[in-house]
Amino acid sequence: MVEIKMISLKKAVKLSFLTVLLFSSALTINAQEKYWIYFKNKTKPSENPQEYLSSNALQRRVAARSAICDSTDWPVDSTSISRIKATGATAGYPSRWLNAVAVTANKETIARIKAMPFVKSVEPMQYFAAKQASLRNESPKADPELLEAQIKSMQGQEFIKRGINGKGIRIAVFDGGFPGVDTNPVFEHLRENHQIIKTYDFVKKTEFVYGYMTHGSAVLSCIAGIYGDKNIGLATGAEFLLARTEIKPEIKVEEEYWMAAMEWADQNGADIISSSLGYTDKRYTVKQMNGRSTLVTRAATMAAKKGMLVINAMGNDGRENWEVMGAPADADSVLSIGGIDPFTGYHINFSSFGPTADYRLKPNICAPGAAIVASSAAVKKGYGTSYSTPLVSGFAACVWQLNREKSNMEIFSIMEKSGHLYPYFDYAHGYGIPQASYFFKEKSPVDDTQNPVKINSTTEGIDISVSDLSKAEEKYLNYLYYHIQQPDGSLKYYAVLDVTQNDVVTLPFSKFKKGDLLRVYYKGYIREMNF
Amino acid sequence: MVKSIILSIIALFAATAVFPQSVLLEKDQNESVYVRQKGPNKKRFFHLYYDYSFYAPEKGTSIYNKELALRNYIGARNNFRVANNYVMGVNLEFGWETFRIEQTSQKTFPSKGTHKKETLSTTNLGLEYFNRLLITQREGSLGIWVDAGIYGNLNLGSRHVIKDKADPADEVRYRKTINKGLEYLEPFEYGVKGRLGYKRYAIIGTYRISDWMKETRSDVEPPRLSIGFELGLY
Repeated sequence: MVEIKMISLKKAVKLSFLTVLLFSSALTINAQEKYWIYFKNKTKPSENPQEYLSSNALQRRVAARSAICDSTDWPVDSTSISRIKATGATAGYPSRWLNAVAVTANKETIARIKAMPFVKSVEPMQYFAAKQASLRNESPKADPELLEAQIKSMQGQEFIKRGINGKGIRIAVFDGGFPGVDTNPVFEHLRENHQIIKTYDFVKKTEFVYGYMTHGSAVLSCIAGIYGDKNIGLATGAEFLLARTEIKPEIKVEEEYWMAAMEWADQNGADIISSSLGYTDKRYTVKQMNGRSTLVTRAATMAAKKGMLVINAMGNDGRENWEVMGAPADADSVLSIGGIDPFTGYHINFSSFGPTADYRLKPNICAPGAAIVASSAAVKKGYGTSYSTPLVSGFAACVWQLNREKSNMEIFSIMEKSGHLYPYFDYAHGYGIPQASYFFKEKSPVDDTQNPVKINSTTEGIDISVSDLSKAEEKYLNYLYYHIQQPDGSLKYYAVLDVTQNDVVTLPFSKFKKGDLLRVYYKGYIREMNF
Repeated sequence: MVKSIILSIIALFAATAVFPQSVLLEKDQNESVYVRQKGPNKKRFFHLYYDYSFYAPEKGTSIYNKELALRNYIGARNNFRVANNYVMGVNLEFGWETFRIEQTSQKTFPSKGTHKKETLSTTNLGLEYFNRLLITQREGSLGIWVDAGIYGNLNLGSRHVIKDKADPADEVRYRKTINKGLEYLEPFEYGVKGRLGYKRYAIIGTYRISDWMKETRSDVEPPRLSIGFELGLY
């Protein structure tokens, strides 16, 4: 017979509390955490870089006139990794660039690893909350006007009519999955012409990437998709490396995958890395957006040094407390892309603002933040700088195809110069939307006698006025942009006005200091005044 | 007359009508997120809050009703962030504390008679100093935080309210008697406070160290510990 002992409620509560306490203590003791183990030294494996660098990677470095190889290209010492594994730690992806390996281990094991003579340092791995730079997707529906606008805003038809489609350029795309890329008619040409060179799922360690999150498919379509007979993106002839580096949107993503994918792209000869991810407030502060602080920013800078053009989304925090870009868009050598409304050419309200925390220009350029994108089976309307970025990546591939002799940073520079606002810039639009006509020298020299903008110094202040109020077909040409630039190159103030009268604005003298520059853009003309 | 007023209004509008340029965007970098000093998790943060708490019943029999012993405060908080994870703050608050007296046959305080309802309440002006530890760092957001502070309340007024059913002959249903300026209550109280918060929401606990009642009536001291909820108004 079973005897049932009744215990009082108070005792039951005490017992439960103790059980929970013991259980959580046990969990804490055996908790497995992720770390980067940095090694002190590396040995040059051979005098011949072909033995440890792929021919694609070498070719790109020669073309980019970057250093053929240095110690960051040497493989991580395999003996050191074996000795780490022998401690019971689970080794993940090694990083040549960091001279490190990712491991999972408990605190006791990590203490033993730290004491090893060849270990330089141990750092807990940052768990990023990657923010996909897309906001929302609407139900499947093609919008012909929008589809046309997303190409027309960059004068993409100039490339299309000349048959320039990014051929010979290899683009790496990192995202959370690419469902439908193997079936959707939007990508048929990529499949038929075997333009998808390599795929890898860094989460599951397999080559299959055609599942999971549709974000990657949408992004890829903005680079190279064709809907019916219309381009969604411009680089329909480029080659692609597709990497799955994320598990779910808006959850913690291990930097290990991102680092590994960067090095994988390098090894596989990527010319362009298109990334629509940003790392913001889950781990960092705005002051760390200075191009030096975050690991992803340092990795993106390293990728640029290896000759790759890294193009990254600014992010969609323009209306949030965060407000500015997410890493790695803060990196000096990353081409950071803001979002605009494709019908007005003006900043789309969610697009994150610059500058960086050390007051460098970001975004560098901008592109439509609303676009027709591929879903797993059809197309839909999507919003976010996630889509601005691949639209520019497709554009950049065409530019590079036209200027194959140029290095990645030279392409970066001419992309900025092709911006419709150039040399005007601000922290919402950068230099504006890149214009294809710039590369065909069809941008006729500006006749300054026709310049409708006047800047006059009056007793009340500095008057900006315009003589032409006619409305241009492209709405963005009707807007007047002006900024006040300080001697160090940074802006102290900028504004955009929809002009409705000849006398636009009077700026008080108190806004200016000696050395400042007032620059105004209106209808393709620039007027400047030095103080 | 009416006509002339309407015409004057129209004329006034016409005279002052300006068709301004439509400002689509305006950014002054002196107010950028990098230099902004005010706001959640910034150097200075000012906001209002509302705090509603219940007093926890104490061991043994109490003359006070368990469910109707309340603190009800609205306050203004000034946070000064002095380190990455550490904030010093001052609260100025105004509110009420109410205790309902149980109506039993053994009742002796404040008088032996029983009534339909009987409450003691004070109106207070309080000042609190607290230290805050920010557990999770989020830009522009407080994340998870813990406060520990000390407070003092000045008793601005006190009321003893008795509510009875009116005599059938009266024309009202209830009769209310209010005694103000209760002599058996201390004019000042102090104690400690703690909060565990997430963004604008917090669980708040207070413990009154000083007595509420003067020594002569220490036998009817109300509960000291209260637990409640705070909502940051920002």
